[in-house]
Amino acid sequence: MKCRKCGEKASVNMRQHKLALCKEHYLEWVPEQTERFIKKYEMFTHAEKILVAVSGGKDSLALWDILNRLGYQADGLYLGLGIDGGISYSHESQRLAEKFANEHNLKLHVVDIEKEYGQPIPVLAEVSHRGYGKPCAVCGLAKRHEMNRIARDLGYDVLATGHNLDDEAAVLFGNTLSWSSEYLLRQGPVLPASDGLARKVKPLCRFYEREMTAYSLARGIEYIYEECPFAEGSQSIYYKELLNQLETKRPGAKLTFYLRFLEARKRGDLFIENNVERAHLHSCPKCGQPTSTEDLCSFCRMIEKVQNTAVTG
Amino acid sequence: MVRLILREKEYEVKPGMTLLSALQKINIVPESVIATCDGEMILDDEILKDGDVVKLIAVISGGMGIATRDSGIVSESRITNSDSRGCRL
Repeated sequence: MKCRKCGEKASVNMRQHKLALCKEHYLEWVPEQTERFIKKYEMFTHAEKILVAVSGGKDSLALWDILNRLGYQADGLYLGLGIDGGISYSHESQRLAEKFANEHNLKLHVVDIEKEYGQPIPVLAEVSHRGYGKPCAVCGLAKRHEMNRIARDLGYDVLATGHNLDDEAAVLFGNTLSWSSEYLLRQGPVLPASDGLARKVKPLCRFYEREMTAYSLARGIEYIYEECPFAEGSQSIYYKELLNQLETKRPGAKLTFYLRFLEARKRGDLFIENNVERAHLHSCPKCGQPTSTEDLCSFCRMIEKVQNTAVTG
Repeated sequence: MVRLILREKEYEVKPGMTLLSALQKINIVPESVIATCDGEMILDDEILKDGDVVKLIAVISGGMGIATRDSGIVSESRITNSDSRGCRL
């Protein structure tokens, strides 16, 4: 297979675009496309300060690399979750995030959950009894809370995450299976800032996970290959594998599924947004972040419960 | 023979077939992996040669890229050292 631009041997073939490129032209094409998506969805401008949530995985490191190559003001945020799983998962992912930052002379904020709140994520989950034996619910809650807090406290205009199209299609698939209209209405490349919540954007949302892997390999980015030990057997991985089987038979199926959803949502074809009751948000009396209750937010409630347990235990 | 390695599993196929045919034979969903050989990414139409060592990189973090029906694994063993012809990406 030949590169469409130069005729040399191609390294990446994107069947959904009927486009094969050599390594050199692929490494030009990815940032060009990212810039196009940033502008199309009005994610941010060169004048704004961006905080990139960096996990040490391929997508977030690739995103940071691309934004840096495009000349955006992008700093990183690494959250130390305290997950070991027999493979020193958090330790290794932090090492790789710091290595990338050092090699590219980029600013990385490191926040350790255990230092901030007394316990690592698995213990917070165990003590607070959230998440049916797995810490994923607590981890998600803590990450959302901390990313928003830090973006707000440090004066960043926007929070960028490395979600790719496979991530988005898997979420969409899950929410469609259960017709979760509230979640479906919220899904998109940009979640605008509101009521104490920082603007959140996903500049890689139109790239396949395969393409981001290829980008990281071609750029020589060292990333953590192993997934979080708690993610094994997760529903999202199962949905991704199902969608990849579909994609193999029907090239472009994942992209069409996601893009047609965005178009339909924009036109108001899926649900009538006005009919969906919007929850009124209050300010958490402890941390000040938005919450649907008049009392403490879910995160502060969890921390309080953990601290009370530690005192009484 | 051609060796294909995915995480801790190793497969063998006969030389002369394309990468796509090899992946289908060992029942790996092509969309779920990137194949590298001698440090370079290779595509579905690559003809595999005798002695090639193809490293398969799962693109879904945590996923194995293997379909649910019988896998047709020829050999399975833990890889502890990279072969000298192995891929270095």
